[in-house]
Amino acid sequence: MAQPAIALEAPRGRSWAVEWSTLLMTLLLGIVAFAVLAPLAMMLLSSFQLSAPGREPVYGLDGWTRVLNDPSIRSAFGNSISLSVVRQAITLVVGIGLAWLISRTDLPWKNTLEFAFWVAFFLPPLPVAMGWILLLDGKFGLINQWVATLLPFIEGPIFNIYSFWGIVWVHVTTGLGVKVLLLAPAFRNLDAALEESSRSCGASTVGTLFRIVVPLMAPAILVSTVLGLIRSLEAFEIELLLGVPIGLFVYSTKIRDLITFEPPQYAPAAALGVAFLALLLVMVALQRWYLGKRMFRTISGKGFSTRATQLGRWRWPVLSVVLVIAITATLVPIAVLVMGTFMRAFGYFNIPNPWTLQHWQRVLADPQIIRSFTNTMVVSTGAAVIGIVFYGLIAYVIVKTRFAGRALLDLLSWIPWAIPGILMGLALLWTVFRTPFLVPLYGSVYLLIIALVIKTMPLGVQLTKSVLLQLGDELEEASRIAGGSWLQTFRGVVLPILAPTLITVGVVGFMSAARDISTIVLLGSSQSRTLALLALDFAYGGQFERGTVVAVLTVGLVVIAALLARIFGGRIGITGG
Amino acid sequence: MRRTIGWLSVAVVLSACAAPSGQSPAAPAIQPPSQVQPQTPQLTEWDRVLAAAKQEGKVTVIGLEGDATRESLTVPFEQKYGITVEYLSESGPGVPPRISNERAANQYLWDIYVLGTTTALAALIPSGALDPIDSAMILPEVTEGRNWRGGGIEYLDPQKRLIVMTPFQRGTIFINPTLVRPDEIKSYRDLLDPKWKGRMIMNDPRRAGPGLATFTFFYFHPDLGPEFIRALATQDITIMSNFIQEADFIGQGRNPILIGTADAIVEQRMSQGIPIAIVDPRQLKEGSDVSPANGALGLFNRAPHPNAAKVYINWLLGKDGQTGFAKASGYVSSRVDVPTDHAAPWRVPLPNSIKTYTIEAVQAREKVVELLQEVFGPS
Repeated sequence: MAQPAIALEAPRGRSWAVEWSTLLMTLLLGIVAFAVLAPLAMMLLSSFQLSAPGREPVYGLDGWTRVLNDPSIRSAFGNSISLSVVRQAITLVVGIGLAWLISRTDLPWKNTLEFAFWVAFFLPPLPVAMGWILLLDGKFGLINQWVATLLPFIEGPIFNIYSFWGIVWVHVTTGLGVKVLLLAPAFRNLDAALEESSRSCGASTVGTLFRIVVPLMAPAILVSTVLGLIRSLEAFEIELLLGVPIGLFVYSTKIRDLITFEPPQYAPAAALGVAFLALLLVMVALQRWYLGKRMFRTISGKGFSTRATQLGRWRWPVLSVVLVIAITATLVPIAVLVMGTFMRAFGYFNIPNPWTLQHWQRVLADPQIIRSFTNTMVVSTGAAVIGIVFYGLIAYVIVKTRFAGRALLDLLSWIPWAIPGILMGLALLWTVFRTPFLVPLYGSVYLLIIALVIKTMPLGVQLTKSVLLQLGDELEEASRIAGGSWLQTFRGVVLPILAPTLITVGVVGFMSAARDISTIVLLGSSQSRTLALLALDFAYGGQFERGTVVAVLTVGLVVIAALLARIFGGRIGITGG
Repeated sequence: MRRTIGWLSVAVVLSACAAPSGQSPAAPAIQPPSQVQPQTPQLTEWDRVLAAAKQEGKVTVIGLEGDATRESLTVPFEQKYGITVEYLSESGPGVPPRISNERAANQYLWDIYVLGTTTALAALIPSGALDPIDSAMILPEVTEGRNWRGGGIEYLDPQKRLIVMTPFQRGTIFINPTLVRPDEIKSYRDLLDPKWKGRMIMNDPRRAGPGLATFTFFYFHPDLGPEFIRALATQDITIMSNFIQEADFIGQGRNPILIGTADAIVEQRMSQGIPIAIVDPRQLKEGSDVSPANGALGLFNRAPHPNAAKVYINWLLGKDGQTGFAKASGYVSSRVDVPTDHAAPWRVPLPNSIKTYTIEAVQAREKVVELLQEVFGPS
């Protein structure tokens, strides 16, 4: 990691200030430590707890023994790793290209395109997967049927969604959005003078991208890769739909099977979850080792140019490629999703009266919809606002101070993703009921907000951190030399540079909260259920189409929130000169 | 929101008072089929409980997922009694950790349980979370044995803590009628015909659910048993784990036969016009098993609204409650006076059918799962 530069040291004669700032940072460390270690400890403990819920606890190694002796775990783990690596390799290369084109070049409509990728990130995985099945099923997929009609000389389907590559495809279409969302803010903070120097030395545009831009973007790229790998390993919804019918099982479906078994098998499930911790620690250690050797400051006091790279004659061809990707990742799934809400049965065109408004009428007349909408707004907005402040503080302490516990704080900020999503809800439930001051919040939207802020911590902190690592010390030093206090420096120098990233963090927090199910499903009550849980209610009751209506409503809500954030975010932040 | 609900509740109560039936708000609106005398001791007890229930103001219910069942378990009760139902839809496996953790922190938040038998038998009853429910039954409409199929309410445990409201004959084989003639399968052994090899799908029987219930039935049926399960495993059946996807595989004609999925989901798809049919168990030599699916009822101990819980139980086990619940869920009520015309005639349980929901069946599942993991591989 880059050497921290600005210390929150007190001026002479005001030693109380040192203590005060140290105290605050220690408090922050304490809060983060409790928030992330308590659920983790609960998960570890439950991997040894053998008795059924509600019975006297009995401890032993049976859960671990069962997991270690299960031969199917190894193949599932292998599938998870290969799927994750392939997906990340594709999304990383394409995502870097897209983020660079959107943030560093004169690509037309780049703001609209970036927004499209944001929306792709949010789309609910289950209906999206169903949509791709509708299009790319080997036998019945619409695209395969059209190809068979138009090109009768082609034998068999051009692509079968029920395959290893089908799973990769669905994940790549949604994963590109995450990459653009994570990388574009960091790319924007790159001084264009560096690229111009490279080109003036004879490097091509692509050569400059891979020899100058990508190495400088290492913090953001590494963060997005580690986050992407962890998220890939814990994904199971798409794998259940597309993998199980062809006998392709992954690690996370094993955890899900154990938890949803009756009676639930928590000990082996938690033991399996510990593997995430091991993997995460290895990846975080590698990331810290790599970043610690280098400096990545791209924003300094020497002037800052954000002049766009000219694509020249490639401008329109490149645009058409990016458009195709954006349409594939965003518009096609949304179109299928919306179409499905007007179909009597999703994907059935040949039944009598295939089109209907009934699902919309039924959902909009449901007495739960207003309450769920209100809860979603409160929970998502709360998680976004608190997240911006909380993650910003954590990232600032890690990167910009000499606080003794900053390395620990950095490590802790990753931990919420060491617990697979499906176990996180349980771990938080266990934590809440063993923490007396949290018990009164049980069932309320406030607890859901706290849980979601914890769950999104790695993404929020690392995203903010990657931009702070780019920020040189000269700007802050100049402000302080000119007599600015720490607060004035933060408000006048750091915050404007961080603002676009913090807004992105807020949008991510909002989106994650609005779509989350596994983290909050056990913490909510009938009064605090969100739209995502209502959609689940419909789907599990056999009303998949009504669940899709709720999902479309949620997407609409998030799109509006993201639009507002972009409009607001566009008015603040750094501008090039 | 709370204020709005409060006003709505007042409005509902007022409109109930103004109803032309002329009933007093305190009088039980349910008129049981038997001759009810207004001055019987039961009614006196009922009056007292109902008044106390209205003081409590609400009842909290953990119930099954789905908008139709949620509505059937909330709206009619609220309209009838002006008592709010706080309803939490939950999956079976989600209930035990929630309840056990709440109780460990001295939080007793729930009154009523309306979900599957496995969760209650495997977790809630052993942990002592349910009370005997028979003492909560007050109305003769509920307590009189002649109103129930089999001569009385069916309890699943000796302490009478769990009631089976809706045992019905399950569908076990599902077909695409354009690919399979409905009369083509007359015995489960017909599934062993080589022409079906590699063409059938099933809900994962190694996990709790309709797939496991179906194979538990196979296991215990004297004409089928483990030998049949081993033979079936050689048919290269595709294992799946999403009910809607399973039904759609059949409806789209991708596969002709599906074994052991959720009846309610298939019936939902059938009502949408999708070509999928349930093989009538009466045409199968071995029949099918009986199960209430998510139609079990329990009363949590230390219920926070004990009187409202009693009113709710009497309402739900009455003709009105059972009619609404059965219709919404597609199940068949055990009450003899509840119409069954919303379901196929064969849904009414046949005498001597194997029950896959009893304590014995649940306890035996370990053996069944062991065999299934042996023949189909570990899940």
